[in-house]
Amino acid sequence: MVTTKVNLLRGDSNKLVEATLLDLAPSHINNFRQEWKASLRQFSQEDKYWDWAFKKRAASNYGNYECYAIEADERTQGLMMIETKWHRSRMKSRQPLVYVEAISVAPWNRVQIRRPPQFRRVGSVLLEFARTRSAALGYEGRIGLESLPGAEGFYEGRNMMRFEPEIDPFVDDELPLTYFEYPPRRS
Amino acid sequence: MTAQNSSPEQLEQQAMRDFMARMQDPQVALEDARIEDEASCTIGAGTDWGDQLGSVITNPQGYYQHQRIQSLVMNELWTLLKDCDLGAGLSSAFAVGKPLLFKRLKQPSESVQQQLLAAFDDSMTPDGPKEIVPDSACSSVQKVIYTVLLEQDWKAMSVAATTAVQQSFMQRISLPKTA
Repeated sequence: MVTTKVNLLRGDSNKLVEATLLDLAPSHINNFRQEWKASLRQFSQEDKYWDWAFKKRAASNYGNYECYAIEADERTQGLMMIETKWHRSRMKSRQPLVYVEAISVAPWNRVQIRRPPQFRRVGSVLLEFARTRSAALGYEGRIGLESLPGAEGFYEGRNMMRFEPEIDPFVDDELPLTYFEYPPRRS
Repeated sequence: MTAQNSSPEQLEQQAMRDFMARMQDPQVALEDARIEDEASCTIGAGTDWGDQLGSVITNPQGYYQHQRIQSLVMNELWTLLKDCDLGAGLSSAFAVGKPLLFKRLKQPSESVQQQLLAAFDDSMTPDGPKEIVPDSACSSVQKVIYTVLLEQDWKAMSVAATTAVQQSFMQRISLPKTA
């Protein structure tokens, strides 16, 4: 069971604010439904139909999935789901890595919806925690993810390696998402 | 400490120590915020877990399974059609057949679900996907395709293939001839 203190930044002042990163709970799913969804739909966000209850069930039933949330000011500020067993690096080594199935920040923390955002650093903290889980599992900090359209600049800014989409012509009607990977973290 | 000579507990403890150090460092926090500001985008990753394959997909074993089964099924549809020697009509037949097959697999029977799950298991090792999908898995998936597609579906694919062949033929013979 995970409960750890993290620091976010207030969007208007850049002051450090203490938050909590913990396992995804029903309260977070309720927050998503009651406080996030309407705004996500209003602003046509890509993740407006994501089903976090479903993701939570997967994490409860299968040990290779893990779900986390960040809380601050008594609200859910960010959500993440990772997979820890089935995915391999797309680099030649084909080493195991932690795959970020989903990462999402609250609408009031998105610059497309609110400027300045209420909190900064939510996505960065979640990403960093995925690397932490990877290191804890012996994967040396390797993580992989498929970026939502428009978010590629963030992952490039974090010096993740970019891989052009692998198109499966039998399945993909649209261009798949761009894949990014963190290589092993050197100590 | 390297990953190779550390116990799982040591790895976890060290990883959390490193994480907490990054969380408490104000310079790291400001750098994180700078990167986010420069990107000026919604930070997100992942896709929705669809339910295109009925309760096989709502089975929480997950999105990875969904993707793999979807790929197996569509690859085998392509193989089946390719074996029919459709020539110029192959792509058109597949383009028609693919959405039809998705539609038929939206609410598959219990038996079909089990066959697809068995094919998925057959294509995997405990550590990840097999490099080559076994013939047994391919064969099972082909049986599923024959089971779920209706006669009208095959006719639709046949019409699409025929039309494409006719068009291809007419384009060829209408090319300007040189003496």
